[in-house]
Amino acid sequence: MAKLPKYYELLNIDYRPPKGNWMDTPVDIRPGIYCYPARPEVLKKASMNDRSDWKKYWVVEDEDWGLPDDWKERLLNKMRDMLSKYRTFKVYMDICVRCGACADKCHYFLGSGDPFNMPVLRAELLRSVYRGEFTTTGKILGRIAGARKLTKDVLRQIWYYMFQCSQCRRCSVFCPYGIDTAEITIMAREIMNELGMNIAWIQESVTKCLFTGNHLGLQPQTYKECIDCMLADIEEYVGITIDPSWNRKGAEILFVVPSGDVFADPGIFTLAGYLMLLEHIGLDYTWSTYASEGGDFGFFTANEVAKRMNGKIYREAKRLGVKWILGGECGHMWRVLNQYMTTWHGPIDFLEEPVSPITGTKFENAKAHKMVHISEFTADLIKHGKLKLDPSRNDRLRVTYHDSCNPSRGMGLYEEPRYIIKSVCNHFFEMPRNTIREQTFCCGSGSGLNASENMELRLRGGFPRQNALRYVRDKYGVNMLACICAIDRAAFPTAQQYWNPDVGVCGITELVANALIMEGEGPRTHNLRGFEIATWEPRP
Amino acid sequence: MDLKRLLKEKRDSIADRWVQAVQETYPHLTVEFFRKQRNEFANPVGFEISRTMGPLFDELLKDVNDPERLSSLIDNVIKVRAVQDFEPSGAVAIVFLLKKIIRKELAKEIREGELFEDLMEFESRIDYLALLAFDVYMRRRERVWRVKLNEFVRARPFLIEDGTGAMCLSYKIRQEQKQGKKTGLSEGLDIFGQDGAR
Repeated sequence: MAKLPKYYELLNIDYRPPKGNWMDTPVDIRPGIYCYPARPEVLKKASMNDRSDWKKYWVVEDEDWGLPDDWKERLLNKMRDMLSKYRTFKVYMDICVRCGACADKCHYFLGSGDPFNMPVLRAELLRSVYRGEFTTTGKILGRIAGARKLTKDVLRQIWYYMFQCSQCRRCSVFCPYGIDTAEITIMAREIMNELGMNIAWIQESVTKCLFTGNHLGLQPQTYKECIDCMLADIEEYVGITIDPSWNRKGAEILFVVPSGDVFADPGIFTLAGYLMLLEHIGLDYTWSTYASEGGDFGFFTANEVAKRMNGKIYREAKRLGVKWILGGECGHMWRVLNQYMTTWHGPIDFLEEPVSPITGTKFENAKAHKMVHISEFTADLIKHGKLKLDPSRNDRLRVTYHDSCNPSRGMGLYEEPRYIIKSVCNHFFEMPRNTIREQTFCCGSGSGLNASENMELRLRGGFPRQNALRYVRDKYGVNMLACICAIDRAAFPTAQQYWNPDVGVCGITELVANALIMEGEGPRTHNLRGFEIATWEPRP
Repeated sequence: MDLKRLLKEKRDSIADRWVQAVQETYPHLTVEFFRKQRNEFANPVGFEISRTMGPLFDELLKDVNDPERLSSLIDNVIKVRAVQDFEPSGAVAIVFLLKKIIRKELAKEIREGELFEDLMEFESRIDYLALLAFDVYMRRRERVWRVKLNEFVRARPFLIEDGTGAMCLSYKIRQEQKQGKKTGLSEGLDIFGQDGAR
């Protein structure tokens, strides 16, 4: 008699993971994890491949994507091209010894438990193709050498997992060879862009930015109206009338912020903070409706697009004849500015080395790219006693600080934000050491993965950070998470509604503005969000 | 000899096995990592598992079970599994793993002491926990959708009808405050109420 199956086999309840070699594990593309593809018309507008050569509309969950006949040739040509052009890419493909130091450092791996999210394995997806298609050993030895050919299934896998990396570079901190795994993701995404395989969240922003100057697609009048709206709020809650200047030639400083701060909540309160701070010190600065975006989503598509989008900041600085540029609280914006911008557009000889007109401090670290971070600038003001502050206005807040990935790992901004918070708040608490500073965890939604359709990915990717936040919430009663990144301010309220529903989110300049004593101000009974300071309970 | 005393005697080994069994619902590379890394923040999922299963077992061993406490304990693990690659059955299957472990661990004692009635009673408790786990799982999934919806509407404040036709969020909050009205906007941004997983 044939053996009867066990009851649980009949039910087919699946809680055991698949076994065997990772190369044989088929990719299971799940809703909630991937982002929707970019719309062809949006790609076309940006002069990128709009997938018109594909056999059908791209539906990610379909088995057959309807790729064009020469898909493989085109991808490999692009990869060959990039291997010869970018030395780093070639080196990173060759030198990894699979020691595993990075394996358990990725927040997506920690949150999902999916080994393909180990940075080493994510990179190995591409590396195995590199070996199988470009190296002699790989071609001869095949799997023994960890090599494989590029097939449609392999491509599906690479696409799925390259859009589960937020390029936060936490793994690269631990790599003994200094391999920057984010760079591998960047390269892989650029290669796949050859066929138009980008996601909507990134591409919509890129195309809007190319036409209006900012990711949100705000036209100049809307951009100004948004800021006017905050000026009205400031008038009501602070009692000060501010009249900033727009596109003004001859201003000393150009001020550039991420457009998320102009439109999205709670970033908009940080924007109100900028307005008050710069008014208070009487800075000779101007806003621009053309360089109306500090961030650069082109960075998540291809090098050339990133360069195209980012160039407007310098062009505008040149047109207005400013001396240097001040930048708002943003994440990847600062990595791009610090590490790419001078290579793309340099040397920047039409601007001067930044010097604070209020304190005379020379920002030597910004000598090359001529842009200063608002936190560096504010910390310098506080250090020189140029701001009158009343930290007791923030007394209801028990604040912790999230080191946003790019300003911390991309430009080493650790001390200034902490110094500012401690100056404007009486209650500041650090999260555990292995979750802050250079080891900070990503919010889970960086590098264009902040779409709503991939919510499960974002929530589990945000879990390591939220776990550390829960710890300080329980231990010290923390009720406010401060950060210096617009993506953080968009991502955290959502993540916290799931993980820590009683901790709010704010930018640092918002805290500064609430504590700032301005000349001629009215009774400060309400904060910038319009809540009574004495009774406010922050919520995400 | 009653079963509960036996279970209490073997508490540590059963709890350990339960932790191990829950870990093994993840791929083998991940299981290795769960076992190796003990730091709470470097291994948040592994930590949630190891800090939960023991106390959960203790709670089941009590004469009267507190459903609130059981729910909040199982939530530690389910909240994570609800956003991972598990089917719903796979996410809550961790509860039933305990049955398997007890039957295996105490097979001899149960047979010799004819403790089947006790076993049935204890397994009913496990079934009860499974139902609670299902509730917790659903609450978490509902929460995911609510969070998604909140995000969608937050980006489109004009979807909230208040009769003024105004679209500006801060304007709306001010209006609300002037009228002494409370629609949730001024309560925070969870505009559909603050229940769910809270």
